[in-house]
Amino acid sequence: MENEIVQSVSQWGLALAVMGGAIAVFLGGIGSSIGVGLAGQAGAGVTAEKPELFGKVLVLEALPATQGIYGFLVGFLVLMNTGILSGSIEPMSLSEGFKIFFGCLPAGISCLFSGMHQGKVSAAGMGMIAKDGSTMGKAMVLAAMVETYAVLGFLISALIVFSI
Amino acid sequence: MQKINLWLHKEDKAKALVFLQSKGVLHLTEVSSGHEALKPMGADETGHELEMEVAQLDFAVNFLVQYEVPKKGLQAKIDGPSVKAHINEVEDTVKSFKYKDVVARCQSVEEQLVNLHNEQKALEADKEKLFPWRYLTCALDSPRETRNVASLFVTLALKDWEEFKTELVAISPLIVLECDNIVDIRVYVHIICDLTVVPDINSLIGTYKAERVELPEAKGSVTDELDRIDKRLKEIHDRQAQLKEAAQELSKDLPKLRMAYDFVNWKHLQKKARRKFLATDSAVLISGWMPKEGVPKIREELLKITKNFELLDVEPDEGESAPVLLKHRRFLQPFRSVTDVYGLPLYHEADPTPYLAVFFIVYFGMCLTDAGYGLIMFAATWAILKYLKIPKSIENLVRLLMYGGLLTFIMGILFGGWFGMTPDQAPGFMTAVRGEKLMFIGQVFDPLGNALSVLILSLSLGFIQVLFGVWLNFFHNFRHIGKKDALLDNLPWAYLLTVIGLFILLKAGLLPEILASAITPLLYAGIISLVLTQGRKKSNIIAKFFSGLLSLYNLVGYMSDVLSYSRLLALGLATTIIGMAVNTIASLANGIPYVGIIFAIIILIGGHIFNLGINALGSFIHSGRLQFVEFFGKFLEGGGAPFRPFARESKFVHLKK
Repeated sequence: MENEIVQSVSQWGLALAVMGGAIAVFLGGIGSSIGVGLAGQAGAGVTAEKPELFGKVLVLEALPATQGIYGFLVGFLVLMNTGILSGSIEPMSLSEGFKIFFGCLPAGISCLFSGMHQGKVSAAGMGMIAKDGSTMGKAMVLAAMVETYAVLGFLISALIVFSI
Repeated sequence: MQKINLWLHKEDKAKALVFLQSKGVLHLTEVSSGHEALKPMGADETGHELEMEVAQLDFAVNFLVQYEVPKKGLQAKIDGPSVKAHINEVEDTVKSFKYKDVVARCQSVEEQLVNLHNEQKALEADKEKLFPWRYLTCALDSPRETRNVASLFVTLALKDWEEFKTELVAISPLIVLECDNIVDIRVYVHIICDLTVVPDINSLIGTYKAERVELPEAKGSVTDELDRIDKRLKEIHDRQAQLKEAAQELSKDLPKLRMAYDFVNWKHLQKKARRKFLATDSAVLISGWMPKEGVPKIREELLKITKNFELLDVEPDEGESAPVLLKHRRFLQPFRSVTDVYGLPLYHEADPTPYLAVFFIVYFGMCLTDAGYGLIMFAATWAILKYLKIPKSIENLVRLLMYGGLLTFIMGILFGGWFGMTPDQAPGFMTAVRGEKLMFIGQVFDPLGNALSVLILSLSLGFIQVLFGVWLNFFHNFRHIGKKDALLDNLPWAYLLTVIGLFILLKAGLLPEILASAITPLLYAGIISLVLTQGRKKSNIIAKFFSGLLSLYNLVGYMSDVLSYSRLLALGLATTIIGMAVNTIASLANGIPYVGIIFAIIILIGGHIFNLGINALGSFIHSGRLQFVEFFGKFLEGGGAPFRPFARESKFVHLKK
């Protein structure tokens, strides 16, 4: 009986870690979905007027997609480092589980907002390239400014998850 | 850049313009008249004609492109509609080629096609309308109304038909129903009735939401009319085919037509340029900017054309700044693609291209850090440059990516990145045991095991670049703006940041402890010099002091700039981890019996290409951003107007020299 409770506590640690990974993936995913969606709508308008700009529109639309990837990577790191992916799960203490759980939040939350807002900047950038295709680089740099905070969030999450 | 005024005799103007356009060295500016005899030239009749001609040629080219047989092959795709030719070739071709006839034929063919298309649409609409009435026996041109009788064509929904019929017949015995044809869910009925009951029928039609149909008037029965429409449609179809063939035949002239477009456009540009000129009755004044070293040569060559001219160096107007033309050595040329994203520096500012080159390419490599990807990128871009002829504008970017591939390869070796593999997954010959750890050969850093060392490296590189930018600003201002301002405004910062760098090295134990006593006072000296100098433009002593003290807050700005370089680690990690994810998923797929290996290969190839693509894009943007925001901010304002010489600007023709 006592043994079982001890066992279940170790399961809770793992569950928390997995929950953290899942949150990072879906928050990043939501952010990118909204962002890419916004950029895509604006891009469709530009493409309708100037089909020759499709290549540039596609690149600009892809920019807010990275947040989803960062979230996914954090989730992947959790699966890999907890041994779930390789099938050799090691028991994890509750505190260890909380560490991973909170460690996943910087990536998840920063990717959520960064993705949404980068999408807005990308969508506005579509207007720039519609007017003058040569402003593509400037539009990309403007959008990349928003990505900084997703990058920083990902960096911290990755470092914490790596420390398992 | 040198601003010049060129005075010409009116007779020589045309010749001189052709010469100037062929050289493409003069950036025209508008001259404001200082003298009443000098009047703006404005546009003239030929100018309008040429503009029309350009528009027509543009139309013809756009029209014929739809019928051009596309050439096959990658090179043809890259070349697109461009034509390579020598200027004499263009002139000869255009002179012997009756492009006006071709344009006229294009216009005629296009007009006929449009008319046929409209007729076809109208006929198809008629056909659709008539089709449900095909069992009608009476002729379509039989009268719809006589003195006593009216003939109505009505359509309504099938479900209302029985009720409608009962009520209709109940109105009056003077109503006859003919031809009730049912198509899908609608009934088509021909009603013949006494003229007096028409209003009753109309109200009934209203209640049942039926519709009265106006059939077109034509000779013969509906079937006759339908046959006639079909016949005409076939004729139209045949004619369209003929016209399209004609257009295809015409499209063989497209290369010549494109030359004609550019050639006429050059002439149009010559005429357009005159709007910027001033003239008296016999002389013309042309004003503009020219690279300084080119002026004597232009003077010399103008002499061969005419003796009646005067070329003067003049001072620019107040508030007027020279256009910017950047010149680089050949190996720096590709980095122009980075500078161009930001825009040009102001005329008096330094050209950032040579300074950013090394940083940009190293950061690019650090953001990717995969030797395998680097090799692929290098090989692909090298092959493009070697085997394909690509336009100059894209060539720079491709060459830059080639450098990037090379640096990524080097960085990949240093950081141990090989297609996202961990050392124990890699083949034995690539790894070696160092200390107690298995590492790749040549690997110095271990981002996954010891991320801190890479973070420190990233921040150090950032500090070096920021410091470099601050010193650059000082030297440039010292030499070109003003010695006093540079010494008082810029030098204290450059000095303090340098000392801070030494201080950090000392604290990190990289400098001998013995220097501590020397560096600490230097640090205080730096801070004091800032407080003393930075507020010097304020009016009273107290404001000067606080303003100086407050300027120390800029240290936070420099710190946040340096911290921004931590993205180098994050982006490098992202590449590695996506690579690892691809490998893991592929190895899971490999577990599927029999077909697993195929899935695994597809996942490996697709996944790594995706990873390379998305991270190369990210690396380019973020490495660029570090230049634009963190580096340029230190010494550059930007926003210079580009040097756009009066030249043979062409849409299609690439002139051979």
